[in-house]
Amino acid sequence: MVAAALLAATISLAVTAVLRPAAAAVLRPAARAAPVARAAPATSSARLEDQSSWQRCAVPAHLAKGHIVVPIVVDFGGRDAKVLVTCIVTRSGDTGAQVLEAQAPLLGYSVPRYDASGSGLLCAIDGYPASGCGTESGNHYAYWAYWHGGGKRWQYASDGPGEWTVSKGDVEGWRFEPDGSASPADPPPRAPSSAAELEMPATTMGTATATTRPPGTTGMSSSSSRSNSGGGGKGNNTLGANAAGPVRQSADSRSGTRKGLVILCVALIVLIGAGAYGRSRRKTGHVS
Amino acid sequence: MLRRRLQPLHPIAWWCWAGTLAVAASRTTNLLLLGLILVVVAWVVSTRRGNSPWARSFGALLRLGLFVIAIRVAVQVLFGDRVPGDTWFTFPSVPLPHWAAGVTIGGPVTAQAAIGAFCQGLQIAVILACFGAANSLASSFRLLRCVPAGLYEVAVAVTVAISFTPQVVLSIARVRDARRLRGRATTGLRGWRGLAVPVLDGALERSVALAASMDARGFGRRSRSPKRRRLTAAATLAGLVGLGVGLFEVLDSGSASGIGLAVIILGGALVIGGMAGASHGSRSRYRPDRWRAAEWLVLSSGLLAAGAVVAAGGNDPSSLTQPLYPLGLPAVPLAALAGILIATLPSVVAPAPAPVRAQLQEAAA
Repeated sequence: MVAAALLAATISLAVTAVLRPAAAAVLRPAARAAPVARAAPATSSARLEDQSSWQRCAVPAHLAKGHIVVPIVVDFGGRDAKVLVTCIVTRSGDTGAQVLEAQAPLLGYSVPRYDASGSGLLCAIDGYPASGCGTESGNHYAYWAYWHGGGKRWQYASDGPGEWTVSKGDVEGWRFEPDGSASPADPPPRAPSSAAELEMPATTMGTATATTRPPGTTGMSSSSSRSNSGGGGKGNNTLGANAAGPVRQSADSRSGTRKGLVILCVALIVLIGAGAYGRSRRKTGHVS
Repeated sequence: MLRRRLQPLHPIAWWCWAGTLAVAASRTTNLLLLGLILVVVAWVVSTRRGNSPWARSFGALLRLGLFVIAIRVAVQVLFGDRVPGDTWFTFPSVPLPHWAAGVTIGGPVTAQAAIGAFCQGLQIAVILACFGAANSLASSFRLLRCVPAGLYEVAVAVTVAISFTPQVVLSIARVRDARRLRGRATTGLRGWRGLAVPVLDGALERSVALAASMDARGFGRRSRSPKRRRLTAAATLAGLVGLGVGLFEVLDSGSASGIGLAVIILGGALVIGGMAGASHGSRSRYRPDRWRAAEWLVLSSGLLAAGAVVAAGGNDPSSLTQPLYPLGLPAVPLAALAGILIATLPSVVAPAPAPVRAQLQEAAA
């Protein structure tokens, strides 16, 4: 009976593991919802009433071949929360996730946090919220909603950032919904959705050139040129960079001991495994 | 030379020990914990398995586990969710229409996607290894003798469930030998093609034959009154279904385990009630397996291991998962690791398998 139960448990676990991507797809509030209805009432201009200030981002004067500029809007939700607009230089065909990740170092942010189970659900941008992932309360979720801009209004994404690929004229939008319904009815980011209104042509900020890093990843923005030139920037914060010092040091020493422990564990595992292998070899060798 | 004849460990003790380790494995995707569970199981199997043909079950299920890992990773890489992260390489992708959002073919393969899939595959492989260990260590025939007579109504299913894996292993050996004698391929793709059908066919047939012969020898006598028989059958069946559903609820860490536990208790009570109602008169056993101190030790070592892992999860759930964002070394939950090491106890306390080698040498001399 125990055997039957164990077999059943094994099979059920196998089935869940195989079906997990599909289950995640169903449960994922941010990235998967029905396509937007034509007559979505929430146009971006109507929503701009609870105005959080946003600033245009500067576009570099020269782009390397195959590169495009993708404005990304990150709206931290809340009434007085900040709305950040960053122009990312990236390759056409890069994923939305790569664009979002490229934004982090430009602003001195920590990299986006995704669901630990590997379902691809975005949990936090710049460590916000600090814990949880699409936390459900009642029928509502506290989650990062993903929007596609570029046209007249924001479109609620029907795919994940890892699946969406950007092309010229696209705008990426993220808005934290503290009490969202995980549907296209959630409010879109509080910034225009078209690239033309978000971008600031390169004139005064002429020094913002596209630094080509490892191909296909990141680029430049007005925000970064401001923080690089030693402050004076009036808008976006650089909190992440200030807080990094002492935290990183203690994390370093901790990761050092962890590395030692991991090596010790691996050695133990290899030792026991080799012992078991050797024993079973010897045994079968004698019998046959 | 006079040797004290040792009775092998009670088969249910082996199954419980393997089951608790499988539960521990089902709770974690931490590579260190999974690796340690795997080698601990392998070590105990290498020290305590006999020379019976089904002792090879462990190796067979290890190979099946490798296959599972390969499938899991391949499906993730080719068709899985495009999980964001550090891109390793990009497969040419097929653009799908808008309504097929969520299904992808090809595309960028990230380290997170591949490593996450590997961890999940390894988890299943380790659970399979635990299952194989139980089959290697405990004789399915001895286990069948412990099945209560009241389970008559599901006797065929139980017999097939318990004896199928060892029968598959036996079948593989038999069909291989036969093919080798006829000069056909026994390895590679061609070998497997010729092997699969006769092996599955033969194993199932032999399991059913075993069930029939046990039936003929009076395994599970039924009570005389048909009404009572129907009632007990319904109770047993409902209880078994309840046990299955409850186990699923408890093992699926995502759902609240309170309901699952209640369903398990209810199902268990139904099964016991049904069996009590069905059993009629007593059955005698020839040389029954006894539950002694060694069995208790083996059982508690397994429970300690599973308990340590579950407790580590309650303390700090992130210590049981492979960190993916950012990708890093797995956590080292020392208490859980120590608990799993305790599960090597059977390699000392369980009685050694019958020393066939010595017997063979004696016979040769």
